[in-house]
Amino acid sequence: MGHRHSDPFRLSHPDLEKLNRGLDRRDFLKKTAMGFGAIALNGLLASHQAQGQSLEQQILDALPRIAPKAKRVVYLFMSGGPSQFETWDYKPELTKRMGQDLPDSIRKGQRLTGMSANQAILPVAASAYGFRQYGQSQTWVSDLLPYTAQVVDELCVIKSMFTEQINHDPAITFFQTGHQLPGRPSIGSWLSYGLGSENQNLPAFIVMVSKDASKDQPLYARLWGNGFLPSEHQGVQFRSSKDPVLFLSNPEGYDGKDRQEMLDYLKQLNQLQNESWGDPEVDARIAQYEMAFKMQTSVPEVMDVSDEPQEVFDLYGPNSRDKGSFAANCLLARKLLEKDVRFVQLYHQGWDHHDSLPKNIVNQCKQTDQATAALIMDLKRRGMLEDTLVIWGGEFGRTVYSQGKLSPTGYGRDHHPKCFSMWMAGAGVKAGTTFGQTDDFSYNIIKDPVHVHDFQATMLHLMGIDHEQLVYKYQGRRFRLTDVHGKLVKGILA
Amino acid sequence: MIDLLGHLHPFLVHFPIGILVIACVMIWAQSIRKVETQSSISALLLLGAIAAIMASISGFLLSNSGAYEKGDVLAHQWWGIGTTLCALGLYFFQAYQKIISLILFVALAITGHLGGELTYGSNYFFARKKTVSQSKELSLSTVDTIQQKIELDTAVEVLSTAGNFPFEQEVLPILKSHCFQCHSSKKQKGKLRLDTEAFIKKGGKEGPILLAGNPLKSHLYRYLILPEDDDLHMPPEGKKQLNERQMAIIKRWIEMGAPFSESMHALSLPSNAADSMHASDIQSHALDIKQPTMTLLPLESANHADILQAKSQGLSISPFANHPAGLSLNFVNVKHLDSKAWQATKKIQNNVLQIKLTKRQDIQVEELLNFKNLQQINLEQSNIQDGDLERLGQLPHLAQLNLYGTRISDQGIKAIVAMKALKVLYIWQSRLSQEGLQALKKARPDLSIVEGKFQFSPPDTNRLKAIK
Repeated sequence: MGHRHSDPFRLSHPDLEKLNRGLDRRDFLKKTAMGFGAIALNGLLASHQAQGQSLEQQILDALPRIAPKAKRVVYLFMSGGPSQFETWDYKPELTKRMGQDLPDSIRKGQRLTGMSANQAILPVAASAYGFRQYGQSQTWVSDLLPYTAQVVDELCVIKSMFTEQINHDPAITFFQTGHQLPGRPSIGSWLSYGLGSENQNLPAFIVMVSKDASKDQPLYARLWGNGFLPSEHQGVQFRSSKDPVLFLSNPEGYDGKDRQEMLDYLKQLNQLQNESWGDPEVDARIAQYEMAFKMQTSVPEVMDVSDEPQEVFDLYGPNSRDKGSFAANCLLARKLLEKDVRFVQLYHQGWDHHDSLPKNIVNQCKQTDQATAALIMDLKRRGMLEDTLVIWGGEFGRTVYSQGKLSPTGYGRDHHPKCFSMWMAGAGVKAGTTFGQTDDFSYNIIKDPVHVHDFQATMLHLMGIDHEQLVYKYQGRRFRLTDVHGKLVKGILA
Repeated sequence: MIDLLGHLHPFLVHFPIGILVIACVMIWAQSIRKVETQSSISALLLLGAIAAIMASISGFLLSNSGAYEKGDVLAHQWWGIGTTLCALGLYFFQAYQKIISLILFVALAITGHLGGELTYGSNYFFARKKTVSQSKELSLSTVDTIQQKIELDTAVEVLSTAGNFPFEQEVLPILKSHCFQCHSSKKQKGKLRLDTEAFIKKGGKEGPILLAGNPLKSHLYRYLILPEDDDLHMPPEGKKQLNERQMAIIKRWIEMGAPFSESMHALSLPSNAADSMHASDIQSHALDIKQPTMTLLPLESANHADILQAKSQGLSISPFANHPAGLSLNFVNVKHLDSKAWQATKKIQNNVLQIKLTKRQDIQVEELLNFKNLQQINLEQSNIQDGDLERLGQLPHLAQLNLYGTRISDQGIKAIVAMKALKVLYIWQSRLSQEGLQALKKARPDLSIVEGKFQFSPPDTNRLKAIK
């Protein structure tokens, strides 16, 4: 390291001394107000520093252990609310009732959205696409998903999901954070906090958003936000542009050779700051700088697909060479999982089909079907499916009745929170099964309802965490991903 | 309602004691100082007698509530009734007033003492007072910090192999010294007894107190680590608390599946203990104890400090899915797989059941042989060679081997066939020939081989059109 300055020079800098010495009235009050806590904390810190483990880590290590079936999760979030009628929930009876008004005995006075509440009639719309049974499990799959149908024996299809939210943003926020209002940590952040990062050169929680989807409903970065958890646990978004992670590469004209040294000194400054202020966000900042530095080499490496053979691109489908497409993101997701990234989340928008559903959903399925199935098979042949959990699903379902005018091939469907379909595959999940059942209108659940919190609890369980134990104290309350709810869905566990 | 009257007993008993003692003192004072206070004495005696009757009734109701063993209450009950009669007698007959008042005083003291023993335990009065440090030991700590201390404490030597925990030597003495006072033949607070295996398994008013393998879901442990001022904390505030070692023992015992040794009956029990509980009762509250299956290795959890130590060397360590004490080791963060890296694993070697060495080109197979209990090795895309497989065959429990993308060729088949415990093999993109693969399949039909040959059949595009 030829360009290393001598330490005393840097450490005797007047700013640092001032930082060390300065303690005005306001500081004094702040520090003494922290009083007891700080003393106790110092004691604890002293004891764990000897162990080379953060206090947080030690507390987490002491959490009860459930044997984790899954080491990684890849969550394919189909944003907008895919219709269960054209994908997984086969309702042959509906063809006979095509165009009839939805019976009150089914709707039971349920409140509808403003988009269809004023319709004179709620005409039942059967799926415009056929279904067939596939695999040894003989699971019914829509003709729109010919590739996923070929891997259906790996899936556990849950037909009885339900949520409490009827509009996109609250529903997605509810799914991702366990609460309909923004501000709580996302699932991936909870997992990052609870389990840490297996690969110390990559973040534990990585997010990618398809660029090839229609952006009918927006996504916000807070959906992968850390909420009140320390900010190093927020999801890091990888983009398809030249810089996969914004502001990660060195600025032009800077050769980066003394980057390490610069960051070391910055860390010392931050630590001094930390000693005088005790703000946990300083710790987070230190961790983030360290991670960013490591990512300067690890990210370009993992994003580089040039050494993938043609056979892999063939598997993931024609779009897989198009950077930023869902297919390309699936391929990248596999690469990230191979690197032991804990939680990879892909978002694919465009499932919000209020009108012209039969036309629009074909394209959605085309964009996602093959790559999704390919991801599963690719994980399987590498021996990774047995400890990777794959999740596919949206934030809610869609109505059995048509929003707007119904014609045999032209109809739309409104939001429907009372039942929808998802699937899970891989680690710890009963492969080749279907769980739950809806009525003939796929309007109400008649067997084994699975609430969003139940889904979250089950997911954490598969990752080896008791959802009741993973808590974070904030504003005087111990918060959980599952709030005060959530039951383990034992029926889908292998 | 009747229960409530019973619960008033501890409150009511103070009245007869106070009032009758004053009456006695006044009787004696009157005889010494020759002052006439007979009317006041009579009034006090009447009041005291009424209070004594009420205390007796409430006491009787309390004894029927089931929280107390009948035999132990008996003495207190009859002394109480005697005291009441004595007070009544003193009120109605003034002959021998001084002597009877003395008897009344003694009777009051004895009744009170017997009552105290019921509440605070039999050796309560003569026992030494506990020190401040004992009782305050845990009061400031939160559950979390206690847990940490316990984790460190679990490092203590103790504890033998799986499913075979010295219950009698380690756990029972703790229960005896800290719990029996309220949860044994004498008393069954919360309908809970802890003095025999059957009772411990049955649990209390709220059901079972043990979930084998999960201390935090077992009330027996969970209540110990609650903050001392919590209503549910056990032993109750003010009673002798368990120290960290003792809590660690309980925790460990439950983690091991809460095994009882056969000789539990050797514990001296009142003869009626077994009678008071029906066999069916025990059945219906039977514990969900996860009996370790025969194939599970007898393995004790690794020392927490050793795990932390290895983690601090950059190793990724996580629990292994198929064994409660197993660990999974990942070298993803290790730059150079040198002897130093392997050295860091020395103390946890027996617990490591899975090792992941994906894409490593610097693997030395000899090092792997130190992990005697290995069940799963991920060697995908690594530098593993045919010659190494024979040595891997020395691992007796190796059940799963990932060799995809390696240079393994037909030369290695013999060694693979010889791996008796092997169940799953990944060999996609290895150099095995078709013939070799067939030979392997033939030699080991029980082996599940993932060849990874997979191609989608092109979809029938006609079906992608909407049904008219």
